[in-house]
Amino acid sequence: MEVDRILGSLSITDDFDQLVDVTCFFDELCSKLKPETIVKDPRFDLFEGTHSLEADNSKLDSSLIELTDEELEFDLNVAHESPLSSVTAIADRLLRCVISWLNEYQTLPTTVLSCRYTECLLSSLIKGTSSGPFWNTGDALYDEVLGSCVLGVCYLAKFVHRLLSAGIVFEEEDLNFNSMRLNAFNNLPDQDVVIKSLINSLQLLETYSDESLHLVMLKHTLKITLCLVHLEDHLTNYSTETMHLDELIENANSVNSMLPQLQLSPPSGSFSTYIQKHRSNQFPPRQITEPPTDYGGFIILAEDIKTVLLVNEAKSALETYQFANIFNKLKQRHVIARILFPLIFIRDDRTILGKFSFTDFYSLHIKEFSAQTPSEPSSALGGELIQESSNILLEWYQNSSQNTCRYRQGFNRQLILWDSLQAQFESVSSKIYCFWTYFMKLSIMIEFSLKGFDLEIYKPFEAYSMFWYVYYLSSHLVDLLNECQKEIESNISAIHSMNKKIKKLKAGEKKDQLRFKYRFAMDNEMDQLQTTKQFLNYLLKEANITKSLCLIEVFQFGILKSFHVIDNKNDTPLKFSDERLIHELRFKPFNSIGVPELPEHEAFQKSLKDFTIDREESSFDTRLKALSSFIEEEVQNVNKSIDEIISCIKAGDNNGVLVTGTGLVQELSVEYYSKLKLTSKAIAINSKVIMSTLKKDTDHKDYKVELVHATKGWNYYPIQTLRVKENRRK
Amino acid sequence: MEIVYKPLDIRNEEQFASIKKLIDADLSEPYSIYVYRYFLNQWPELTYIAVDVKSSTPSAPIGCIVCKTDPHRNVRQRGYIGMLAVESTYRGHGIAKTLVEIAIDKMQRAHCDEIMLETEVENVAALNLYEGMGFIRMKRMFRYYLNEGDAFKLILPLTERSCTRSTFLMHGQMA
Repeated sequence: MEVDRILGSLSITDDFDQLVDVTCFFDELCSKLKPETIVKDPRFDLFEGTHSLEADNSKLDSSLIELTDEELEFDLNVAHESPLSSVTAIADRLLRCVISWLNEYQTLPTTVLSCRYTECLLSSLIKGTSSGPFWNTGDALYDEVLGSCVLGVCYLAKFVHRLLSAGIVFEEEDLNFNSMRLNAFNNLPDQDVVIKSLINSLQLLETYSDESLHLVMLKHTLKITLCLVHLEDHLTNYSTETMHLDELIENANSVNSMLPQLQLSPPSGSFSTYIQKHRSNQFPPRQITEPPTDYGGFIILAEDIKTVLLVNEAKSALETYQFANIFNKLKQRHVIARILFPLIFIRDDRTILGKFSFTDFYSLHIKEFSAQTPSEPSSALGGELIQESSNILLEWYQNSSQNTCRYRQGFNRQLILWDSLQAQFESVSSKIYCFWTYFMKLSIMIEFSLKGFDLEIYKPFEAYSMFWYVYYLSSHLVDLLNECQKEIESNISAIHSMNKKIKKLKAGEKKDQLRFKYRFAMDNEMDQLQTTKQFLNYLLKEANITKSLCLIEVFQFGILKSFHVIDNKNDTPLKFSDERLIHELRFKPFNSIGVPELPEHEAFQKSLKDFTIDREESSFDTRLKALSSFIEEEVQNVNKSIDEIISCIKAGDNNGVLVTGTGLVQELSVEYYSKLKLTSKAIAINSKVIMSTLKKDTDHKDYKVELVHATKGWNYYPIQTLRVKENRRK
Repeated sequence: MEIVYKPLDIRNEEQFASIKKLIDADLSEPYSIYVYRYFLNQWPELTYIAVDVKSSTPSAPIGCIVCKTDPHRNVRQRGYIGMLAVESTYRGHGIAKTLVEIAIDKMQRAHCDEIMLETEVENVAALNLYEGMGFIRMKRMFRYYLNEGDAFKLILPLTERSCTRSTFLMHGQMA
């Protein structure tokens, strides 16, 4: 309607003699166009094309949206019948729209901006009105209470926009901020004004004698909005205070228990696609979102931010490392928490958590991994290299909060960076830097490979190559960690041997000097050496678990291949490509890695042959039985190691054998290892099922293999499950 | 039913409209006229249609494939399958597979190093079709489509160049 009014008011001239008819020029130009010509800006490519709109195409032209009479005639300056219940219903739906927007990745126009009151408030801000009332019904519930609620939600949106601008996550993918060109967020009043407005509304509600559930509900919505307005404190002041988050959880729980007893129905037309038709819209028309029916999304938001805030309590690089490893791993955290993590961790003042410079933080990792105080590598390259290394380390931390798909892609890029770093450190002969860089690189290579199973990137026929490769990588990791462990042991022995030497020396200056040296080492180095030794013990257990689980998967594939149920190649003949090319494409991310070198395709093939038993062999059954026992034994070892790690985590790393550094993420870590254990058990059961089924049934052509994630298990190790082919079922 | 496969006639406006209608009905992504023109006008030789010459509308496409080919980061030639659709009543007869094979054959002869496409994670039929031909999933893309679904990026390698990271192919060229 607004557009119609503006267009209607356009008037160039009434004097038609002054107008020049240019139609003929267009006709002439068009007549020269060939059908294949596209008239476009040279910068307009396919990406622009897939985002372009089209007039008169109902899927792509929001001006064709058909609005109902209620939507067209909706008047914001009228208080609807039963103001208390209608205002409560509007505030409730608006808050549930926030959940839809932020928890369910919906767009801003189909959620928060679909509320006519939000649109009106932002339009008023553009026009220069910075304080309410933004609509004038004459009813305080509408003009003040609803006004402050909408103002609070807009303030949250402003904060979200600030988070999005930090460039941590991807717009459209993780978060949508299509403001329909209502760029009024910077005109919003300051936080204290918004808070005051909400508190005033709460005080106003206290004066109501009404004891209905609607009034209680409305108070909760205002309190929730107040908590949302406070979210920015975690970034603006790096506040670790969780009071508002706890209140958010408390109020959301209260609302959840009330909602089933309430009949909330916002006035017709108050939530609508009106804004998409009416405002400048660069996107295709979309139905407004039906928001979730409860406030569980706010509980997730608050809990996830609380988890992220725990990183502030980190006392060591081990703890920050383990925190980043796990906080977003078991489930994808709320997008706000995922953005907040790197922003809180890597601060604007170029410090880590306000405690360490970037390079000091980097050195801390080296120190805790090697129990040696790192000095710069002896080369002119040293300083630059440390700088580059610390940047790559920070990128690793940032990657940990990406969405589940970007997380793997980030590692794809990271593994070349760490490989290049390792090569550079080797060229300046810096052992402790090399060890740690190699450790990081191998860990990333393993994580990148196994994450592919979680994302269902690999087909069953690829399982062998992937698991065999990760087995190969984890063997290298075990070797590296053993080497690091030897270094630590030798440093510990060197200190202990000083004491023996002191006892043998006669009193004198030499003895005093050695005693001093020994005391110094015991006071300043021994603790770190013991901690590192125990951390390496833990890493070794972890690497051996990975190695064993991969080996078990490889054995299972070998068994399945022995029965001709699967092979490590496509089961249909290929017309345009071949087995080797496909294998090499799969391993493209690793083909430039210097150490450990990617084995040739032939090595993969040969190893599979070694894991396969020829069915014609007389010892087939005996070998199969031996394999079965081996798998059982390996699973038992894995489970034993997992139990040891879990009990150590639960004991807060105080058992004197292992240090896991999981103090900040104790529960999550226990959950992770419990899932891993469940998976290992499921794999063991699957082995038995495979063997008994295939031994019983002689027609193995009817079977195929599917990669199935164990329920409540860890998806990095899918179960290679036997399935009957469709045609046999028929 | 007798299916005949033929290349697009870019001068045939009726054919263009039929292709658009066929794809619009089938794809989750609404494409503007520009997207169709972008592909069909620039790479008309890489669009093929299938018609049922025994039907009452023997010249109307009942299936089509729309592709393009261009250099990827200036180091390898990449063929891209943009759209593939077969009218629902004609499915299950291998028409889509034949269209894909014709298009890949053409792109291979045009010296493509690889063929790439994206498909919805939930589109099992498409995944089975492409993976049966040797395509593998390279990455998963979070909420790639407007219908909010994730997508897989699939690649079929045709030459060794497809199996080396672009960065290293660039370095190789510089050296």
